[in-house]
Amino acid sequence: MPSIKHPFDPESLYQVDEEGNIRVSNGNQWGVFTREGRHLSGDIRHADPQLCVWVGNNPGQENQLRSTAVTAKRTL
Amino acid sequence: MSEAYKPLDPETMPRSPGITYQQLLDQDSRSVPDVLRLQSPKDMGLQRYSVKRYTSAAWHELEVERLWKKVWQFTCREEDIPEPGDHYRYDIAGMSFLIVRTETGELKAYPNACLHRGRMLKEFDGNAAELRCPFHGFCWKLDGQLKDIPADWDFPQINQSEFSLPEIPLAVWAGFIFINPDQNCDPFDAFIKDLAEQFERWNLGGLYKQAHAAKVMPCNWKIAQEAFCEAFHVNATHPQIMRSIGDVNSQVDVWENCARVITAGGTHSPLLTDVSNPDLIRAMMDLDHDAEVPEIPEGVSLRTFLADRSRESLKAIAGDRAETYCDAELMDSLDYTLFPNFHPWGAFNGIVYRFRPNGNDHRSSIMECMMLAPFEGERPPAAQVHWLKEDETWSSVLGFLGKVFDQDSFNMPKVQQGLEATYMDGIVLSGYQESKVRWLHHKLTEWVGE
Ligand code: FES
Ligand SMILES: [Fe+2]
Repeated sequence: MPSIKHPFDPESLYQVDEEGNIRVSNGNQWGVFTREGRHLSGDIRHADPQLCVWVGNNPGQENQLRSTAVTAKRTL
Repeated sequence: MSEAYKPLDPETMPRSPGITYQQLLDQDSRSVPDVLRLQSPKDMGLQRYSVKRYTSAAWHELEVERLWKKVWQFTCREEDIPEPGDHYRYDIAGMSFLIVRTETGELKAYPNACLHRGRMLKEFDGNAAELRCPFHGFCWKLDGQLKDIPADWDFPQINQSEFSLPEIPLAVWAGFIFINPDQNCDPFDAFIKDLAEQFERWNLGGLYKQAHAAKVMPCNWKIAQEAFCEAFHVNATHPQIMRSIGDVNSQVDVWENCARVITAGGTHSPLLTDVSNPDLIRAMMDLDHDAEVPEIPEGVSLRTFLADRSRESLKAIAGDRAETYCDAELMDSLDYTLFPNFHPWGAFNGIVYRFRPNGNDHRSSIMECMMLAPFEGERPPAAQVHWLKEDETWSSVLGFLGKVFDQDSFNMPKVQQGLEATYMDGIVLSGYQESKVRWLHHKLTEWVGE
């Protein structure tokens, strides 16, 4: 499952769970959020919405307009 | 150059801590082209710009009259209409134009309207031997001359030799077809000069359009556009890439009709301390937080290492030319803007953005991304535009790049809504990092007014 640690808060790990929601954990604490960052459950009540958007966005390959699009890694 | 822009001294102007872009270029493993050594920072004051620019229908109407009806603007690529009879429909803010390839291969632009009772001549892009109106059958040749009026005995008032389609000024730069709806406009060459000089080395005319995606965005076109005109938003909008790009020490350069933001890749944000090389590579390649990453050989800088990999993969499509590309050209975001809405990337990314109003709805816009690519031998056919539906993501068609757009897009309707709810009367812009946005607003003031 995709996972990333927040650059400003490196103890916080953002992961996609089985339901496609975002699980944020920090030590023993955790919280579950929608892919837009709305809190669903758990003691961690706030997450960075943009990192939820990022980690939850996992496109399929079938409609990609060019094969290299997924590996073009530089943009703002 | 407008008097509103005062040159700044790059050595003494206020800037972010951390390595400058020019210092990074000093470490390049190849010789760096002159165009990257240009520096043109400008002091354009610190004034606010009215929120009405984004929220008012009356402001949009002024923008149509004074900007969209008067300015040179990109329509399509030459390779979108390669054969005689090929035509492309370009719409902007309630106007519609036809860009046509004639029998002789010449390009012409006409208002997309029949000279009888005004029906749109072509509603789709396509190919036709003549331009015949589907209403009563008035017909023009591809070069705009009248060809046929059914029952012409009934139109004694029409002088057939003078009943040609009005011609709209058209010009081509690097395979991009521009038009100006104003038949008395200023020449194109002077308009494009700054940009054209800087792109000589990168020859976008030698590329073909490999992909093209478009989507209607729920915000004013300037909100969408300005999301791509500074790197300051990276820390909040794209936190995942801060480990691999120098966001707030981007170099921003402003000329008369064009501006650019250069953001270095393969270096970390000055807003972070202690980023390890493996974390930087993971951020750059969108890998999981604990993924294995390649070892960097002793004595090779990280930027050079990553640039070498990029150079190798480019060789497959660009051949030995790739050897002449310096590290910066392979690693960095060179985001150029030609006023008012055309955004070709410098170097070899081949990315081009365009933003424009969606008809006359000032609360929605059309955002497009084209990808140009090199080719060997015969020019491949140009990709058709792929329209994303409201609920479709950019990532579904543009992969990693699209994932980044989806974060920008996540903000856009909220910026529109926030600007409609705000009590402030003008937006606040930083002095340097957001100076491309400030330049766009200066230009808008020149063209449209306050
Ligand atoms: S921090 Fe830029 S809009 Fe709020
Ligand atoms: Fe962005």
